[in-house]
Amino acid sequence: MLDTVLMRIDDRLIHGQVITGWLRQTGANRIIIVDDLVAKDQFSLSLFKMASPPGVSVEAYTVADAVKLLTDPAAPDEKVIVLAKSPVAPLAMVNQGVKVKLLNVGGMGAKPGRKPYYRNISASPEELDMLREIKAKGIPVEFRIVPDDSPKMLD
Amino acid sequence: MVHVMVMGHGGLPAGIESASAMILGAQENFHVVSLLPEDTPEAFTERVEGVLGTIGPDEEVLFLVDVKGGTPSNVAARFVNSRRRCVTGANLPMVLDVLLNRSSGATVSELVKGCVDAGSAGVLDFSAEIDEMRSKMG
Repeated sequence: MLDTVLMRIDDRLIHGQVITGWLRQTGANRIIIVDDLVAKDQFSLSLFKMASPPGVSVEAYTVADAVKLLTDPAAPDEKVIVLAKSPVAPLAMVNQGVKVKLLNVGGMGAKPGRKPYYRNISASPEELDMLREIKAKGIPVEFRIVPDDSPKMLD
Repeated sequence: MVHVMVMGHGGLPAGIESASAMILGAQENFHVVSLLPEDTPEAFTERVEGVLGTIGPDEEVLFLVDVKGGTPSNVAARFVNSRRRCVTGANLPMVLDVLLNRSSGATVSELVKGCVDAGSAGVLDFSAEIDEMRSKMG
């Protein structure tokens, strides 16, 4: 079964050196983007592949397909980083049996309905509730942009 | 004249603009679009669209983006076409090269080639050059 060493929320998904730091920190070589829109958008997926370091595979799945992949006992014991743009997909995955050790929130931009929460991360009340639901399942939820930052835990 | 759009993180685009103005004077057809810490990719895309909306569709545009793989370059990618080209690793030598060459009527493709060379050639170990110069002076 695939080992989700990190599940990360970042609405920019893959950008710059940020993902390189997390790949190094976790030892993962495979990135799985879980987003119903990106899964159907070849152009975006190609861009994200170009933005990733060489030798790292990048795939995009709908929530439904990601759940199948991440709960499949026949899948190899590979370390993967799962990326999502907001708490919606992580909560759905966790509710459908996907196991994850840590939920990292690394980027959520300003939008109507959202208020600044911590540094440059903004969230709506509904999104904070979703994060708390995930935390209530025993999954630590932290706010941290790059591995060297000190994490702020969700209260 | 080819439009130049500098795109990047935080104060970098505005910094490049002010530095260029110090050296070559204020520029026309020169646009900057900055990604702010609180921006979503969608917000940044809208600002880019807003600027492109002020530029005619037949005009040539050169996107100079700070770093490949960042959100500004991922957004710029969507707007690339035959008349709109994109070079990453934007630095001051590159931008000055573009500004100096576009007034002679260069096409965007000609500017791309020149500025990739100029941007790269501007990166060197200057202290090694100084050492060599000093050793020649004896």
